[in-house]
Parts: sequence; C-alpha cells; structure tokens
Amino acid sequence: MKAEQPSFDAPIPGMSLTAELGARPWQSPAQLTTVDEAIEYYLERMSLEDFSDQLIDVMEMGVPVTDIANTLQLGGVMEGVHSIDVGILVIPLLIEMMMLIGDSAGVKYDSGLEANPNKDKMRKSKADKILRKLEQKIDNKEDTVEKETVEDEPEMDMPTGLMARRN
Amino acid sequence: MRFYNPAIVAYKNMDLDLLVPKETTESKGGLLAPKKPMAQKTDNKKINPVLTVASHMKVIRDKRNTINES
Repeated sequence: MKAEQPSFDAPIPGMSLTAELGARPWQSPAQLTTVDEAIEYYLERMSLEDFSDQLIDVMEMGVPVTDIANTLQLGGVMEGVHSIDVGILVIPLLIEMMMLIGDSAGVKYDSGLEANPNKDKMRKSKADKILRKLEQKIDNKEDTVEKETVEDEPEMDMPTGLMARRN
Repeated sequence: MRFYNPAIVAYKNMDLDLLVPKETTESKGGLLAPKKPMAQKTDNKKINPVLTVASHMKVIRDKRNTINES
C-alpha cells in the first residue's frame, strides 16, 4: 500500500507575521465599502467580452458556477477591493449573472446548487482508475502464473553417454 | 472531497419572492389618497443591502426566464 505523501502547500506557522501589518491589500481599508459599489464593479467587469468568453470556457469544463463565484469574490477580497462581508452579500448576484451569461450563450453548466449531482453517475475518472487497477492486478496474476508454470516444468536430463541419441 | 462553499448557502437563502414583493398599485380615486402603504415608503434598501442584491437578482432572473422560455 502506498503511503500518503505529506502536503507541503500549507503555510508555515508564523508565515502570516512575516510581512508588515497593513502591507497586504486585504489589511488596508477596502476600496469599495458598500454593496452598491461592489455590484457596479462586478457588473462592469462581467459585461466585458473577454470575461464572458473565459467564463464560458470554464463553465464548459464543468466547473460549478458557485465555485467560480466564490473564487471571484475571494479574489476581490485579496486585492483589497471590498471586505469579505460585502463579498458574501454580492455572491448570489454573481451566481445569477453568470448563469445568465451561460444561458444566453447556450452552455450546459453545473450550477453547483444540487446536493450531489453525480450521485448516480460514476465519474469517468473514477471508473478509469478502477479499470487501471484491475488491469494491473490481472497483469500481476498472469506474471505469477507464468513464473509458476516455468518453475513447475521438470528439467529434462540430457543423456550424457557415448551411445546417447543426439538431435 | 468538496470543501464548504458559502456561495451555495448565500444563494439558497435569497428568497426573491419574499424579499422583492410584487408591487400592487391600487388606484384610488381621491387626490389625497395614499399611493403607497407606509411600509413601502421607508427606504429599506439603504438599511438592508440584501434588498439591493435581491432587486438586482430579480431583474436578472426575469431575463434568464425569458431566455429559457424562448
């Protein structure tokens, strides 16, 4: 059995204290303080053609709309555009707007609102993984069977006498 | 494993029918007759930002519904 590899992506303890207080964008006062301002900011960004093109690409890949919306608002918080409170308040509007973009483009998207949309369907990647494991098992079994048959075969004693028949 | 996503909860809690009631304008004949009930006269949007979001959402959802129906 393969041992689980430790994750080194996590921050080191005390890493948050390595920068001066207020040096990060989210530690200084937000640029947009009201929900109205944040709505205007996001709607303006979403109305750009580049944004909608990229959004449609991401939606077609199967990324849930709720995840995109959450990432978008977290990005805003990280950049110091608005506070996390305003971000949470704006999320439903972002989801609705993204679904509108998806609907108007005729894209089939995963809203992410269903409890478990793939409950009945087994994911393709999971099925592939199981198939690979099975194939590996079958290969291993075949190898062991071949080895056993080779080992079981009795070695023929070659006649060594002078009068022995030679092929 | 899927992580907790606050977006799902935030979206599901937005009950638009409750937050944005349909405007019913009852036309009464008199000049001094009230146009709006007192409850609607106070600007709740300024107090409660959820109402602002809900009104925007309502517009977008109506637009979505017309797209999906056609």
